Amino acid sequence: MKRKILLPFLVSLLLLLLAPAGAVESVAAPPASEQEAVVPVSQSDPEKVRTWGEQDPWGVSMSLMAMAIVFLALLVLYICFRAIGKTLGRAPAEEPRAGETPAAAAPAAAAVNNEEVMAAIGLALSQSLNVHDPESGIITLKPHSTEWNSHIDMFHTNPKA
Amino acid sequence: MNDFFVFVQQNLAEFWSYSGFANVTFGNVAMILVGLLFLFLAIKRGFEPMLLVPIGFGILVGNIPFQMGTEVGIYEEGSVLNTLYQGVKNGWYPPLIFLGIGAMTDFSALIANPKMMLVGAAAQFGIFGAYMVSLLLGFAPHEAASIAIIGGADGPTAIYLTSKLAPYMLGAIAVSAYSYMALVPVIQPPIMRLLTTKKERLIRMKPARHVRQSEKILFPIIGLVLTCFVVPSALPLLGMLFFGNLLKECGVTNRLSKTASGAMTDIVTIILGFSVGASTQATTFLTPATLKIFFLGFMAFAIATFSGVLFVKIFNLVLPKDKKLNPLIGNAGVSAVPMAARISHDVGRKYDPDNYLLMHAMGPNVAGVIGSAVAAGVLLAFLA
Repeated sequence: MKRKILLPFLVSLLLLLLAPAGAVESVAAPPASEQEAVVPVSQSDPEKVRTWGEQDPWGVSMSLMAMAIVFLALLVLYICFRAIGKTLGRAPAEEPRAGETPAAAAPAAAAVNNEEVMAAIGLALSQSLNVHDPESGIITLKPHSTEWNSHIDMFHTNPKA
Repeated sequence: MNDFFVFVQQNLAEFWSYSGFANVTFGNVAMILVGLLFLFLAIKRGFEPMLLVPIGFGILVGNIPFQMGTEVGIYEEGSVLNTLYQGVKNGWYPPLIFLGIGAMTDFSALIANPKMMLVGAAAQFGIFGAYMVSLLLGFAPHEAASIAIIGGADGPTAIYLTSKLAPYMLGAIAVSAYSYMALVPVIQPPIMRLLTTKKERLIRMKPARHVRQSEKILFPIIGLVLTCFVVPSALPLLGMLFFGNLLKECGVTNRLSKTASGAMTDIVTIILGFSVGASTQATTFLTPATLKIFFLGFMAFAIATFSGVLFVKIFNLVLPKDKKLNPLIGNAGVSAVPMAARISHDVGRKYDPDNYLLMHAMGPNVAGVIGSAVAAGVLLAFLA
């Protein structure tokens, strides 16, 4: 496993070292003539890109601000759903929907034995996945004559009237 | 008679000049080999076949040599491939895929244990770690952002952001993102084992509480309003994700939900994968920058896994003893649904066969999808 994970890393690193260095501003953008001919144009704001490049050459400000915003967005969701979970957790059980039987709508958390549920799921999976043993596809039962089905034993070769 | 032979000869020569044999370059051959490798990995090894087969075949189509001006190339105005490519270029396909993801995803695990959202947020550090390294390697900020989003482990998000910021790198970034997503089972487990002790791997988490249907219906509505008020630039992705989820959970649009999660997602996946593959023409793909993108993509995945697992360990320091999280679920914050959650489960079961981490790991896993879309929105807001 260690070899598997190290291999792409080392190959990439080696190729990276061997690859010729690009321009400082952009190592990926194709030459202007080629760009006009075949490649779609970036929608990034050149002024913003230049400012970020100058003001934040290491990317630390961007990383700190962006991570803070990502955390803020998900933190707000966390707080909101924590409150909703607590509020609804105290509320009485939901009414079953039209067409649902009360049993189907009953909360699954109500005194469910986890081991029994797991056993039921395991059994269902086993029955669904292991339908049959793998077969070779070769018929091993060969026709075999016995006294019960043998023509020689059951019929006279020269029946008499 | 002589004129006839000259006429035939001229036409055959002209036909030859249009053929692939006359126009082939080393780059075309190399890219066709790359396409074949993708098809081999997908068909023989089963690596993300739903994506790598369309991408791999698209690479073959995009690198068949031809003479410019015949309106067959993906970058030639008016060609069929160019028409399909408009959806990639203008960012139409990724939101449609997000609609399907929303209609497929059950957010119960996250709603039942909302603190998993923070784990999903922490794993997004992979994006910004890779952003800093990309700048160090000489990429411009908008290119660095496009490369870094690979760390979100979310193909449509990577394609969406790159199509806006650095479309000329789209092929390399999409291929890199999907390749590493297929390699998640190889990349993540060693890092997870490296960062955790045996005692931590044995932590059993409490079964999640039952989530009411009303909570499931409220989640996409509140989720949309809260996240998109913070980052409106992520609206195309998050709007469609939450809309798809509402179709699934509201209980009165089953037909729409079924179409969004089934046929529509399949159609868009086929066209998106094929178009992205075809966009990897040798002139834009076979560059030193592509190698750097692959290196940075690997680094982004590794950093994201590190940060997810480390965050859970740190989070455990403040959580009560009976509510501690198993750090093996930290890796699932990188999205890559549901592969990353399965890794958490499989690694956990190696140390305790009766410890079922799958549903616990689905929490940070789906939070990672939201987190990476928010991160893409932030980068877009700063740079576009």
